[in-house]
Amino acid sequence: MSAFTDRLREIRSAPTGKKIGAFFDYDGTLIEGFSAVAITRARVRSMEFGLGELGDFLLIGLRGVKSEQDYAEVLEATKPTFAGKTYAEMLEFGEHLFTHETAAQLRPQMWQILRAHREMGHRIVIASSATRFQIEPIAQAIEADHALATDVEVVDGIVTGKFLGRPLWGPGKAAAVRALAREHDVDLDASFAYSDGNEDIPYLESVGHPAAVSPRHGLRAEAEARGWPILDLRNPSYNRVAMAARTGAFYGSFIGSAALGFVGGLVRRDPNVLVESAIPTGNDVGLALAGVGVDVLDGEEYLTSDRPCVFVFNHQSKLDLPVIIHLVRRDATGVAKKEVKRVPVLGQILDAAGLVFIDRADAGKAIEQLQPAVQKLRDEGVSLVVAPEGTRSSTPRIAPFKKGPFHIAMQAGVPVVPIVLRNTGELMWRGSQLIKPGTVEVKVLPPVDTSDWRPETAGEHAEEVRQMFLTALADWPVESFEDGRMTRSMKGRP
Amino acid sequence: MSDHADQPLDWANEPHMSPVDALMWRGDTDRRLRGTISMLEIYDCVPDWDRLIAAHEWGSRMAPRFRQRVVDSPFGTGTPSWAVDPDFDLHYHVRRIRLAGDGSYRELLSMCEQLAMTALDPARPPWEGTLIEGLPDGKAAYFLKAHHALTDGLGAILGLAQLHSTSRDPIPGKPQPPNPDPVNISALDVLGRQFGEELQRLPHRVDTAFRGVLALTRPRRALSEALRYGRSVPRVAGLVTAPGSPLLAERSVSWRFTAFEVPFEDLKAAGKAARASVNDVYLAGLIGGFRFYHDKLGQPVEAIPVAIPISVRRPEDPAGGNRIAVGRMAGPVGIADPFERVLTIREQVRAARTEPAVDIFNTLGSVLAWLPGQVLAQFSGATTMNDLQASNVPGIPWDTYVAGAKVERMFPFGPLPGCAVMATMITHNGIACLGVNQDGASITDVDLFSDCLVEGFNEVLALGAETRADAMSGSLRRVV
Repeated sequence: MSAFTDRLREIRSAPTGKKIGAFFDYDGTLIEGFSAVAITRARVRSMEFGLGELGDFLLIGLRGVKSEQDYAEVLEATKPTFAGKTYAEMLEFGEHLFTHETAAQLRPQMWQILRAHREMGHRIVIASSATRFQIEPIAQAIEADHALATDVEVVDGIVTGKFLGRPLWGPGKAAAVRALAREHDVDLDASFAYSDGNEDIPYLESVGHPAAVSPRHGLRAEAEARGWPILDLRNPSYNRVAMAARTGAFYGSFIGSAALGFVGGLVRRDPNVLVESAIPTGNDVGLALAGVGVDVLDGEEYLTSDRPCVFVFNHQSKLDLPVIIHLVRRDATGVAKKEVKRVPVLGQILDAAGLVFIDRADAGKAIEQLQPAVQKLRDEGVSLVVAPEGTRSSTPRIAPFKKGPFHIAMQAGVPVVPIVLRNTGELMWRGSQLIKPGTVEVKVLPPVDTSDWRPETAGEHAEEVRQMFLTALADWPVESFEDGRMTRSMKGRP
Repeated sequence: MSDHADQPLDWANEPHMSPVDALMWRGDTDRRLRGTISMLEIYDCVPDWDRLIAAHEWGSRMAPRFRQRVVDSPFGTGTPSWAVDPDFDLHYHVRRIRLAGDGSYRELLSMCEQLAMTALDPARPPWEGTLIEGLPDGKAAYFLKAHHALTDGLGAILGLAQLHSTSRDPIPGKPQPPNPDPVNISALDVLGRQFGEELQRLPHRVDTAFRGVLALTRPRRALSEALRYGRSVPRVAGLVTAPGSPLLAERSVSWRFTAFEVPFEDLKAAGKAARASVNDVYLAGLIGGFRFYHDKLGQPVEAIPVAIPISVRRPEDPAGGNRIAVGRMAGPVGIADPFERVLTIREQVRAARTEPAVDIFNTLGSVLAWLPGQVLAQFSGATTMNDLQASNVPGIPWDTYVAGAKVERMFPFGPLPGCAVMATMITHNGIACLGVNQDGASITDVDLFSDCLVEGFNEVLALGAETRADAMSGSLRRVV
């Protein structure tokens, strides 16, 4: 049994509620690598980086960061990055970097741990030595209760470049954790903490259940000496060239076969040819070439039993669409925002495939906008596939559901069939252009009857279905591979 | 009695100074860097004078280092030799005085300050012992002063533990090594020996150079090792350090002693409560004292430069001499919470200990020792930036006696090599004895500073109340 599964068990046997804290270090723990690298890269790209600043960084690099004082100097050196900017601007910058770069570095296994803590109702806290605006976006994305970060001075909305109080480095972070515990009555002895860094020993020991996550050398020795669990996690790392080749093959096969079917459809004046045969076939070949397998763990029968219906799925990855096509195969179409229609090639294929395009911008006519979709269901008997989160989430979190898909099902008088995808995000994170080989795990939940729904309560029904997703994902028994590859279900394993 | 039993102690018997010892010895070139270490022992009664003299005579046969003088090379470079002084005269080294005033402990410490500030005669074995009578309740004191080049604190305790008796009455049948043979060597002999050593090192240096060339075949590893070491050196050498407190900026040659004691158990309880070592608690108490002192004089600071000795003594090392490296910290004077202070100090000590270059002065010493004293004084000028130097030496954990008198307390006093305050703690039989030497120009109000130290310690010791069954915290007591 791996330390990882032991840990999940430990979390599930802990008391529930906000009195229990789950403290997460960010850089190197929740994500692989350092978020500051992305910041520096962005600044070098934008040519904002001065030579002096570069020199400071090199000097610090030579000397190394060994103490709180050293870290204070690092902060001092990063000052030009944000001094004089507005706080809102910096938050936006952090947000942008998170969704486009660092989110792809999230460790999937840590996400499992995070989810286990949330299920237990624990108080989720990010404790990072980084500055506040670097941490706020991730804190929001994982719905953390608190974000502990090194605070910067803001005067009239402008960041001055000064730091407030003690930097959250080493013992400074431990102090901040204890202060938070005092303020919110958190039972530290029953709480959990995670970190990878040598300097975080005092922070880890301030709780009763510390864990070293892929620890660096010094922390590893200390964790071994103290008997702390060591979670060795590595994001799957693959040969990028091979990944690019697989991804290329996937798109090539998908688009190539779609083009064939498209032409065939035109000739036969029957667009369904595309959807019925060409796309699923090309799609399956593409998935196989990309090394992606699809494993339906539960409820495969519901994919066909109650058609027509509205299939709803949780959207994490560009990979979701091919996976859904693979599952639903025939007599179905999707709903997409109008903008997708304008994407070259793909837009035309989807249009030809009979996709229903909805204008999201016009909120006032939301219900009328749904009419074409309702007609498809009622009149043509074609099922609909919708991602009720509206957009891909940047983390495996399930975002709030939009009401649209549920209105459609209600008006058409068809059931809603939830398709729960677990790990497409691990194989192709948002922001990532490359597909990693692996197996996508799917659970199809029993159809949800909509016959007694009322339009006024659509929001509640949307939330009910969302809860089904949360429960399904929470009950998913996962473990991580010893060699750090993708997590997968324990099904059929000892 | 066999010949074997009459061997002298295996203590401080290497014939030459180590490079670090030599650095200490040469430090005397600058009167501010004088390296006199002292130990004040309090006896429960006045020891028998004749027995005391006999004990010294015996002790100097057991540990011949006490009969050896330093012979330096003509240019004061390289490592000096130790040689048994043909003119060794115990009459110079052991003295007896009586306090002339009220016989108070304050008067005793004033006497000790004066004795400690007086330079040792470099032409003789560098130590002096003084029996001080006239204390209240029939007690007596013994003040031993020696040059730091003779030994470090741990070495001193290792020696004293073997020379002090375990009983009040004389123990018959002790080993009786013969008088060591006098050694007549000249400065030129020392120079010859030094050149010989350098020649012997040559093959090693060639080997090092050869390995250096070999390392170039794996440049990445060589570079990362060099960088790791290289970036550690400035920290160890004190080039990267907190700025000194403006309040303590002055330095002089005036030494002022104060002494404190606290039950060792109380320190341990506080350490347990803060998940830290006794040494961390000790440092946190001292730094808490600095905090109160700065606050009371209205000049608060965030951090002060602190140096701690890090023992690099290995089991196979010879028992005498200096086997210490310097660890540097930015003493967190700005942290008000005693628990946070202890923990922060613990992490700083951990970082200092794991510095790759921690042993640099021992490593580089063979080269440094070739520099003349004045140059070395400049080089070691880094130490003058420290506001506090603090060491903590384990003591003798059993009852000890000297010439019929029981040793009640052992207060150590370190030198002031350019620092404002030197604190040394020795735990003698369950009581932690703290000797503080402060520069009269840096600490302008010694009494206030002492009160602050007590306050600082007690704040930290109070942490221990949580982990104790009696829920009582210990306290530091000012003895003098």
